[in-house]
Amino acid sequence: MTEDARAAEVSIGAADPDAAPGAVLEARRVSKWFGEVIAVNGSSLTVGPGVTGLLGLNGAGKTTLFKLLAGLIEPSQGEVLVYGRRLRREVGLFRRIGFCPESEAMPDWLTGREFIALMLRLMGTPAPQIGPRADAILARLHLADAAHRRIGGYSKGMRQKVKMAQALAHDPDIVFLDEPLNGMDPVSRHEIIALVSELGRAGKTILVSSHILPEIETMTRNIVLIHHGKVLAEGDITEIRDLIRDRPTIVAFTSSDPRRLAAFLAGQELVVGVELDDRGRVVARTDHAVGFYRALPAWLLAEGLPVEEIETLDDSLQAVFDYLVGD
Amino acid sequence: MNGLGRLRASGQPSAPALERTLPLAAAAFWIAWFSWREMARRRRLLAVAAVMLVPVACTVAWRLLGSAQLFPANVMLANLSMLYLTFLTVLVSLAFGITAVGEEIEEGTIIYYWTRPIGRSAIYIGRLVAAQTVAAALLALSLAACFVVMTVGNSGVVTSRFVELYARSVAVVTLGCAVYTAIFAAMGAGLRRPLIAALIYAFGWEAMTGLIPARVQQLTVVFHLRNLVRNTEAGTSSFPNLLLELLRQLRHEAPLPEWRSLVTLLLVMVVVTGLGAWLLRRKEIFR
Repeated sequence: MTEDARAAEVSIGAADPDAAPGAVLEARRVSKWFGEVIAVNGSSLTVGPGVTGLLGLNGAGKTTLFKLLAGLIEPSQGEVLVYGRRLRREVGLFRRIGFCPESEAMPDWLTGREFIALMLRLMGTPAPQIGPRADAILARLHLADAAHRRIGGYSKGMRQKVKMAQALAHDPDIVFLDEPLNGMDPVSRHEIIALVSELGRAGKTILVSSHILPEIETMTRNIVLIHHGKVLAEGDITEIRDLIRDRPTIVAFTSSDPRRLAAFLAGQELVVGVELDDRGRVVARTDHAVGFYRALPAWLLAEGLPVEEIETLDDSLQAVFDYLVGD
Repeated sequence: MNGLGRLRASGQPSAPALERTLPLAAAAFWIAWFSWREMARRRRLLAVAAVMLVPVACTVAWRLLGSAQLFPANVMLANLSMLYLTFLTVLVSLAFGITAVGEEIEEGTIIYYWTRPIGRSAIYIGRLVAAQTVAAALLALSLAACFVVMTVGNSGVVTSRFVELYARSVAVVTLGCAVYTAIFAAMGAGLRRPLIAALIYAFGWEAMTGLIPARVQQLTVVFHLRNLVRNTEAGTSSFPNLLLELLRQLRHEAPLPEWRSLVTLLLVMVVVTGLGAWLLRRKEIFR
């Protein structure tokens, strides 16, 4: 089967470059190259309200496509439209957009509240609303206690939440979340996943990028697969998951008590294998990634198991891509 | 979204109002406001402030060693102002100018500004104004400290000519700082390794060309700054300026009118600011 044929097989309603009714974000045959390197290659894509996952391996061109859609970089060819208009030419449209970057860089010298307040001010939020909005979003992300501490002193998970807070504080219609679960602890992951799902249900247009399929799976069923700079497939995640049903998901935990954690996980039905790796991490395998991720926060809280960081060592995406491109 | 949802329901404007771009002046002001606070917390400020103590220490030594007989106050001040114009102004402007926008791009934090409904020119101007004011404030404070050291318990030196020279020095140093900072900020916005280019420009082109006794020196900022100070009686008392004055007279060159230097400097500042804003508009980051 050819690449195009396989892409079509899993596609449900691929973007029509000439007409996309109801489209909030639209990329029309977009390409972006840097010198001789093609990062995005003639991709068309339509994104409507709800949560859409942008999936791709590291280096697939996912971040470039993400930044093209968010108007942060200009396409070398093709065009990107937001509500049918070009974002780069109408920066006022940014009032309706929230962007949470993957980059760790933040103004570390500001407190969380000062940062959100500045971002709101630059969004043109009326002065009397700035304080209440900043407080509301910080409380919503469980950062109220740390609101007056400098961002430089925040943990990785807290920094991730502040990045999300600045993207959501002005109540945007479109939200871009670039790898939002990176470095988060299990409880924070659960909170963010719940928030993203809630925003999607509220009719917001949410585009989430990740290189980890089970992460996206917990937030949405609607995904776009990108590989080697091309949109390979878009559609329901079930069809993608069917392709990799027999491949387990591997999750690594950094914990101060790895033995107790390993012993507990080994006793769970959803877990098919547990081992300690050479970095002292607990590595668990599961055949039911979604159920595993949903159950995890409750397990950890109930048992009082300490977990500092979770990393999904998932090669299942590679299997999908191998299948789709016929490798 | 809990409280956020309520806020939108009660006070949000309609869709067209939602898409208004923030006015340039307001956006630039708020960016400058937070940039000042940021610059005040960087270690760079302390390092530059320490360098600014060097002329103050020289002035203290001048007082303690009783050198007033050898170098009258006007001469001392003229030499100090040349030190500021030819070296310290460039150094301070370089430290704050090159990082004004370049650091935000390098660190990737500029993405937070880029995703707001504000023009990139406003971002550029806000950051530049913050850098210019912090740099100028450091230079002015240092000059003020020198003035205090020279005059406290030494009121005899405070003549109208001395005050005029001091006021002119502060004004020209401030102007020079604004121009140099704008030049270095544009380099920071447009070049990948701006520091090397800035050092070559500052201590190569400006320092060397500015001493060539020919029309080519008019292509340097330092020439015009010196020209603004030189047109006072005490201006010729500084050693390098005296040499240049002698050379100029030997060549029968008419001095450049002050207004031309002033217009040239303002024009340079406007042009490089426009260039820097244009470079930022074209900039793309991939972090």
